[in-house]
Amino acid sequence: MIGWIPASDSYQHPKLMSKNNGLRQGMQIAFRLGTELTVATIIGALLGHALDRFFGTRPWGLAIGVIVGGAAGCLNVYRAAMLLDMEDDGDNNS
Amino acid sequence: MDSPLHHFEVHTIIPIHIGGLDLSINNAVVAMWVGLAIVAGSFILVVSRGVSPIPGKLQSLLEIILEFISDLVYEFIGKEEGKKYIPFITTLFLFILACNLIGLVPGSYTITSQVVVTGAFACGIFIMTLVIGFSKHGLGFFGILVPPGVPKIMIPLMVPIEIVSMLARPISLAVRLFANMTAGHTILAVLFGLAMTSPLWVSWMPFGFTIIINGLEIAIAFIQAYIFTTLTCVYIGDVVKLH
Repeated sequence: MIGWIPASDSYQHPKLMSKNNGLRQGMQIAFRLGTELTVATIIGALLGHALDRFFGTRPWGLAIGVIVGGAAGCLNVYRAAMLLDMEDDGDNNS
Repeated sequence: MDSPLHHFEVHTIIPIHIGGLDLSINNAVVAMWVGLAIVAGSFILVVSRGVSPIPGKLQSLLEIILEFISDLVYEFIGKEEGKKYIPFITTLFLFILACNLIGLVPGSYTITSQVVVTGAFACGIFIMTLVIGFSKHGLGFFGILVPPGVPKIMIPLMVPIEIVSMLARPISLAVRLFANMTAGHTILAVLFGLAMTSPLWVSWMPFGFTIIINGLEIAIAFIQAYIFTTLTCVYIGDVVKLH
């Protein structure tokens, strides 16, 4: 749909700065969604582990923390994807 | 042959020790200064020449960047609220972009490949969003932990999930920029190492790839700066609008 070549009315824009840049949008998806899930899971696991050490509830905090972190990661990915969807709609309408 | 991680090492140039603090000037600090000088210098140059209604090359470039950033800010934070954040967001974008691009010059230092630097940016932004949230909404800011339309039974489950997702934001922000810059530069170093050590009839291949990946790295320098600023806008926008 949107390629490397900028539209005729935005000829003065540098390619990566133009709004409808396919490469930029694709890369954004690729780089953004990957880290969201991993980092949230790691944070959940670390928080669970910290709670374990604090309260001495050895395996349970970590187990629940990983699950809660995974859920948070899914939520973050969902939100990021919704945002990308919104941007896409905005571009099509304009 | 040097290790592929050799160019991430920090070398002290002028040692300065005050008390127990190590305030030495090292190559990372110098790279940061150069980035700062390029960004500030180009704006000072344009303004000192006089901003003309018919823009020159540098002025029109800077105007395009400013317009681009203000569009971004208006989209994610809102037209009324967003105005006061434009200077901050522009500075952030241009500084990260300049640091990313300086890293591509052979022999220089990629300051954004240090998790200390990106982590400091991300922590600063995280604290800033908290300050904005609490000063704007007071204690009602805790409402950000309960997404709208959640049934009452789900609230005890949603609050820890939201806390984790909130804490994950600055860390994913920092890790994304750091990891992408480090990975790209390491790949370049490895490929160049292969090109230098292999016989001529093989070495054209890794050398060709270094050229291609250098091009990709330029694109990544722009995209990572763009993603960092977009996400900063999204986070500030979330806090300002509170859903």
